Amino acid sequence: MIGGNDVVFPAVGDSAVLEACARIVGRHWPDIRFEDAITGDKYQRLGDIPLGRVRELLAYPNADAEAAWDADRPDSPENSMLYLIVRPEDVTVVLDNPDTAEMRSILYAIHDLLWTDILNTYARAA
Amino acid sequence: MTPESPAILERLLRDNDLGWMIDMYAPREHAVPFLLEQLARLTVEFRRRFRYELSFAPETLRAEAERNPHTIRAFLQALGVSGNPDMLLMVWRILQGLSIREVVMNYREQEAFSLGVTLGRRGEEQDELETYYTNDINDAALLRNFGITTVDRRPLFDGFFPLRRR
Repeated sequence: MIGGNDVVFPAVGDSAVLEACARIVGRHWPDIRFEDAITGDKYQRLGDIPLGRVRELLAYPNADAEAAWDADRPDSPENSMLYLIVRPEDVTVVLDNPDTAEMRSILYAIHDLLWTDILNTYARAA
Repeated sequence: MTPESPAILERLLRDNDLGWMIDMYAPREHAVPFLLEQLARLTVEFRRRFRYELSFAPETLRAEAERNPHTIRAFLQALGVSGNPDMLLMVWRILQGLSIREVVMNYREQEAFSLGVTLGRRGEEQDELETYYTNDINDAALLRNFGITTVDRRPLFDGFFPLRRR
């Protein structure tokens, strides 16, 4: 099972933020697979996900990792899944070990991206 | 387009806080027909460039908005910024998941402006790249919607996101 380290970013957690996080993870995992954590629906590409209806998203680095998790295999490698949760006030990344180079890179990139005002604050009305 | 298209487009714009695109157009009643024409041009440009059909009719946009509301919100914001089919296609392709591989902008005060954006998607053997150009300085406003971050301290534009409004 996933290790359960929660990294919480203050953000307006909506579909745009979920896409932003998924894009960053996908940049590190070119063969990424996604799964709606609530419904179990699976997606091979980011563009296939109905992000407006998804609030909790599982990301696997590749099909093998996904299959291992599906089979509930105890030998699933560390950090072979990320769990993204968006809420109106934050976004949470759940992972095994945040201290690996890859995970640090992902988490810093998400942090920087969420820091940009288009994802974190409101523009003034025209 | 269908007889319902104008009303659907107006509803989409107002639901996304973009009613000003109609209300500030002069004369106001020409706004929606103008925007419908823009979308029709975009459909033609998409077919010319990619050799397959993708409709930008309001009905299609409404259906996508039900799946990915932020995507259509971002696209409609771009429609309010640019009338250049090349730039709108660039926006759409980013929204489809393509990466922003290169941005080249050149500006000389009251002399020249150019912006070129190259997008890429990982291919089977090599990456597939496509480049979009403009000489209209107003299109620079589209860069506001680019996601900005770093990966391992290296610069990264990633995604095209809607500006938020209260």
